[in-house]
Amino acid sequence: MEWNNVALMADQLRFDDRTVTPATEPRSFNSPVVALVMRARTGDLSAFDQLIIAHQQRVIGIAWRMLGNQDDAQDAAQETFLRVYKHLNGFDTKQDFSGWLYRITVNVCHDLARKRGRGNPVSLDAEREAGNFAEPVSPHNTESSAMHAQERAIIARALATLSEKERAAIVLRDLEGLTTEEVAGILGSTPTTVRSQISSARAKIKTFRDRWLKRSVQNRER
Amino acid sequence: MKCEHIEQLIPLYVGGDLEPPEADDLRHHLTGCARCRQLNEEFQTSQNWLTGFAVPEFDEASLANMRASVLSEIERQEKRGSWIHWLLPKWNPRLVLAVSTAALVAVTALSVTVYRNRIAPPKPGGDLVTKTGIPVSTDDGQSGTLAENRLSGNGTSTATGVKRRFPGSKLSEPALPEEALNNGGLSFPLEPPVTVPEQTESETTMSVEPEDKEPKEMLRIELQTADPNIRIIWLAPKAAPTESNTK
Repeated sequence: MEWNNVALMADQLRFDDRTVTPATEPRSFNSPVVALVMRARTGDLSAFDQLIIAHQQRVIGIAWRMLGNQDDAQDAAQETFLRVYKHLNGFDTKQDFSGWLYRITVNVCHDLARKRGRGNPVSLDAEREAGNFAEPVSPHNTESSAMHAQERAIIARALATLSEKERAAIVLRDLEGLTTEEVAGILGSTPTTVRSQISSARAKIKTFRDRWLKRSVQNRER
Repeated sequence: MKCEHIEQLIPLYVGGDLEPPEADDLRHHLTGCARCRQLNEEFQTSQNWLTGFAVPEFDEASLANMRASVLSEIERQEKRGSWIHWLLPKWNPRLVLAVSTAALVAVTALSVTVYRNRIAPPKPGGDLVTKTGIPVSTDDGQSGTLAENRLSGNGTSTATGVKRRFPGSKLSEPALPEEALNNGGLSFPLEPPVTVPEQTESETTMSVEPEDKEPKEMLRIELQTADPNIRIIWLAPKAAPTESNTK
């Protein structure tokens, strides 16, 4: 296997993956993905490995935002790619591969969340101990890294207050940058429903943030 | 636009989810309403805070580990599949299901047959065994199944049942329903058991010794059911010859 070619193709796919176009339009960037899918269908594991490399960051990122911690996110990503391989023959190559992949990711995250119980208490200390946040490289950026980590933990907590559907909608729309129509397609819903879920989720997150800021100010005054 | 309506639209506005005409109306409202403008700024700040939620960089080692786990799991599953293919080259789940169902049905039928043969063995001797497994014995010493008797002329058959001819006379006993002979005797339309009321001595004497003082001939029919412990016995007095019968 020529790893340079793999890396090149993975970069190309990663770039293409971020391009957001309506799901109904033909996607020219699907062709390298389709080529890999066709090879993977015949049992070519190196082709499937390339597919994973191209999408792993995105998948694990969605899973991390949906589930709130890295261990669950890795488990979800693993299960997602296993399901993708299992159902690869059922994938319509005229469809958008990313949308199909995200739908599987969201479903796996829902399954995992149900399996492990609803509440996802996100503790900054626990996250740090688990090594989920990048440790500061030098003393100069220690403070900023800690703040970033804290911000991430707070936002993860805010997301944990949402319902499953609201969380999926806000993650895909606001954090993954998909359009409302694409989110509706992935979630098997209508754009109107997705707009309603997004509106409700943004209001809840604002309320959570307001409370958190208020509590922080009170703690400082003490 | 009223403030209540604007408050509902602001969460969508900050994410660019409003249609252009609605967004224009909202912007126009915000220029003249300080309260809604304040709310819009708060939502905008919250939205920026949320979209700044960067995913931590996952190190390459953990990603490679995840990939390796996925690929090894796939290989493991394919090996399991190939082992089955090696064992059954033309492995077809539907065919296997059909064959196993047929085998199950055959085994069940065989078991039922063996079981029935065990609990109802043929009885040698004077009992008559009908084709349905109902042995019949009569007090006249004749043997054979009812069907055989019918064919050999020992009895006469009608559309509704089998009539047995009595020795020495041309009288016939009441008909035995044909369906009783054809259903294995299991759902034989049995008449309710006759309960003999307690009789006084005189009544008993009268029934035992009829007026003509002649010993009354009794007809005895025994039916052996599928259960070896249950045998049905009919005892009926022979009917007196009537004119129509004698003719």
